Amino acid sequence: MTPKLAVAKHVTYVQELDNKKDSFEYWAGEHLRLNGVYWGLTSVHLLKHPEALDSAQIIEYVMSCQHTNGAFGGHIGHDPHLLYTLSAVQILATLDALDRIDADQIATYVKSLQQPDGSFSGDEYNEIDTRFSYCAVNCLSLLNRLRQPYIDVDRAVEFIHSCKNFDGGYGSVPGAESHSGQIFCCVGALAILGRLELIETDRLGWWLAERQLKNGGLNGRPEKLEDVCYSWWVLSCLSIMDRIHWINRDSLVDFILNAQDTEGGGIADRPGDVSDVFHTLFGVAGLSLLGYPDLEPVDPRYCMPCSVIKRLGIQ
Amino acid sequence: MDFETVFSDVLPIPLDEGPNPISPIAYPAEYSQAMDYFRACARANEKSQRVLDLTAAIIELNPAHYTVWKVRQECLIALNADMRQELEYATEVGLEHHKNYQVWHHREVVVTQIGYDEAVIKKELGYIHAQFKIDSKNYHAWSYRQWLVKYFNYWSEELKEVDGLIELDCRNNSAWNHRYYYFTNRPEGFSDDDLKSEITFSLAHVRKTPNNESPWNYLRGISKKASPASGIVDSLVNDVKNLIQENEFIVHGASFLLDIVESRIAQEADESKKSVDSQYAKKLCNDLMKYDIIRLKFWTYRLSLLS
Ligand SMILES: [Zn+2]
Repeated sequence: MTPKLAVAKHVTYVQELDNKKDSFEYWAGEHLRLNGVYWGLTSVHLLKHPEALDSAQIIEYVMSCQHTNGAFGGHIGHDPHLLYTLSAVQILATLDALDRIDADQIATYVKSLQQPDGSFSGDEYNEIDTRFSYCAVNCLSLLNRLRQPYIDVDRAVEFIHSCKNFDGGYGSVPGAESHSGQIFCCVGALAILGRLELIETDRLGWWLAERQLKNGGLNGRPEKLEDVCYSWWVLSCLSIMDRIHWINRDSLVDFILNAQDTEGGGIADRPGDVSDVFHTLFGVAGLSLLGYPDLEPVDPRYCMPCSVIKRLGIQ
Repeated sequence: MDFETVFSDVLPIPLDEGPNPISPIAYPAEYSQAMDYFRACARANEKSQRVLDLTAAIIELNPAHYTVWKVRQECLIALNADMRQELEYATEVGLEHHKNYQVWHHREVVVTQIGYDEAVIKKELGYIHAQFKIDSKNYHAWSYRQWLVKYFNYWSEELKEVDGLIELDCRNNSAWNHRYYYFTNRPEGFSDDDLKSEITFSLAHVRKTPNNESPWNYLRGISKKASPASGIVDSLVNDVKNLIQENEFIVHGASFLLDIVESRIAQEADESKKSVDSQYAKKLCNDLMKYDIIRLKFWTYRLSLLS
């Protein structure tokens, strides 16, 4: 029997994450702290329990991760990085607290990470990845700064397009293997930029639909294991391309529900594994896209509540 | 490392979590102490052997800390350190943490510092090969390999490597992707003769594992490189048609044919040829709707495009 979504358990699970600070996973994941807050906060919002976390406390924590150049580190005292800057902006947008930051300053920081070929690095360390293109585009869109003099949008699009592969998918850099996570970043960015015509919809749609395995779950690449987070990445792309009906909805819903910890709360990467906040968000977000009852609708481009995107006036 | 002795002249800077931390983290004492000295040295912008040693001590406890790697690189450059020896260090860490992005990127930085040196490149390719033995689909390892061979324009080992990996596991999509990368990025380009022999290679694999999507996708990709006058695509279509007739229904094969026949319809001027292809495409869709039920809606949509 597939269980129902254990809403109350998941809310408590997210609330109690902060009490597990002495575990190895917790301190080793310290550099991901701000991401973790985004995953937990968005989870409870999609579960329709926004009151579960203390907004004022979260906003203070986020602000304490900000550097003088406007960018955010993964935790207090950590170096600035685009990944955490996006999480910070997403959290503040969700909590209607964007007035706490200087949008022009953050947009200038994001611009400083754009390379001559249109790609983005995550920090001055010069790692190039389409993930960072997505972070930049998403972040500037939330800040309503997706234009000159901040970033060169055409170049950004050109770089993403150059990462398109012969199978219709996208990789981290030109020529790198197609991968559902990278495809989400590229399709999400192109959707935010209104350039979906560059996608080979039928070709990519078929490749994505092929990711569904017999047990209903989706994998990230051919011949890899199914995983709740990949299910979200594939699903959100299909949703952006308006092709969600190309996969089997009911079997994916069952797969996600079976990956829940119905006693301790939280969702794991696949049934039988230990739950974590990352897969909890992507499980809940996936269910929301699939129309599971009593969940807040999620925007597939931003992985944030639709109500927040609407409040910001984004189409 | 005895931090207090080595850094006796340094005032450690503890992590300031603010007046009312929502989440003070309980670090193990050793890590916390190392980080306190690390913060102090980073603030003083110290680049020295002892800071280099300190980064190694922290990396041993937490290899995902990106700032520590950056400081390590700055120290190496400032000290004019032996970069070949540094690669040995990266190997030591990398064999334990083969999915850690920072270690892979560190190799790129170090190799760039060394510059073109065939012995180093060969050794790096050997290291990547060893990583493929642990995980032949490691995304970081493949990205690094693609960067390395293109950056140094060093392609001589690629086909042999990919042949070996596909031989070992013909479902290794990463290896098929690299095969495409090799033919489309090396300076010699991709001739019609290359294409013909690659089609033969792929069809041999498709015969062995008809439901393996990787060679089918590869065939799709390379067949787009054919010059229209060569007749290569038409003969490929016939080969695949025969293959489908010899076997039980092959979803990937039918899907492949459907794509090719559809694009042929779009280019064909002769109405009677067009209608033959169109009838055939519809039959393929109907078969796919019957045999690939999980994606029934996709094939229904494809059929609707044909009428
Ligand atoms: Zn996952």
